[in-house]
Amino acid sequence: MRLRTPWFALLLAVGVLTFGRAAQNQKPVTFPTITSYALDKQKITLPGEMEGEIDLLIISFEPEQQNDVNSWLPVAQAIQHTNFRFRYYELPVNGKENFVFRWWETSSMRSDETDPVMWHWIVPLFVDRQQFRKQLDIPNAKQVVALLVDRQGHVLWRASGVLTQDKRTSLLAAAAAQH
Amino acid sequence: MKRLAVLLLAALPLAAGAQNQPKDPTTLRGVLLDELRSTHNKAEWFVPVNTAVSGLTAEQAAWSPGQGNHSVGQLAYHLWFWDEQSLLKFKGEKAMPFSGNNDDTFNNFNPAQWDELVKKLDATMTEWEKAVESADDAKLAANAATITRISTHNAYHIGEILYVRKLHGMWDPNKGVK
Repeated sequence: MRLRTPWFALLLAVGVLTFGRAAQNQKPVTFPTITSYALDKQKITLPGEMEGEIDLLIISFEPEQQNDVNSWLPVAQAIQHTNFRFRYYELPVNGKENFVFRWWETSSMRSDETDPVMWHWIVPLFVDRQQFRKQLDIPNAKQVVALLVDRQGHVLWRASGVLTQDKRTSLLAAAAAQH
Repeated sequence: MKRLAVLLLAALPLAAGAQNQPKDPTTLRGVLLDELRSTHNKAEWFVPVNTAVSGLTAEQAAWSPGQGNHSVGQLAYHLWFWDEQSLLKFKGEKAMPFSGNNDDTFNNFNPAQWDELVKKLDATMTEWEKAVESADDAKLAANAATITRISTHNAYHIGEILYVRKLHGMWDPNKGVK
């Protein structure tokens, strides 16, 4: 292609430079270090103390999203049967709240999840929700987010919303690649 | 001297008894085989799966305690599916088709195929033991962590099978776990 004007060439060069710089600035997303208590009252610091070498973190922002969270559980359980170094956690995200609210909220979650075996794997977070979303590049709180994360916090795979067949296939492939 | 001779004579039966005791495995292969057999057909302090699924009709196997809990048939199907799937992988063979939904490994149980499922579960476990016996040391070491967890997975669901059978009054305590 022959460039007819120097202006066009200049614009093209600026465009290429800007795009290149933006690509360089895209930092890999890392899960922030957060200490909290699982519903079984065990203290855990994420992501370093997660029990799996790789873990699926199913993040929700509203109680009404529980059905969407549940849609991810069967595939997580399937991966657990083939990769014994894989675990999954449910992370309901709340704002920073006082002790009474936190107690009320976690008690309520325990009564909703009647199987005490599951309590170890549900870790409510009480954090600055906006900052938390920003750190994980989550645009809004309208959908659940599923992150495949290692103990260093590297986000290896991500999806949002209810599980679909495409997302299931994609997650199975991502988990297999880490096995 | 006489006392020493008497003591030695008295200790002889103890020594002979000790020789007759089954020896604990001392190799990785031996430990893995011991674990697999203890969940397959060699009773230890808990019941192996062959005993856990025996003596049931298809109708009894399909009985569920409700509230989302699984039937004996569903638990047995789940065990067979994952044991067979991991065996195929260990042997480098093509995996069975799988949706990626763990619920299917319970819900695909068909009571009409109960007797066949019991045989398939036994055959898969037998195949696993043969595969471990014949694998070379490097392959065994590379897969040991998976194989040992297959046994703990088996033991976990065998416990559930026994619990469901007891709930339904379908368990003879004389077979173990009173």
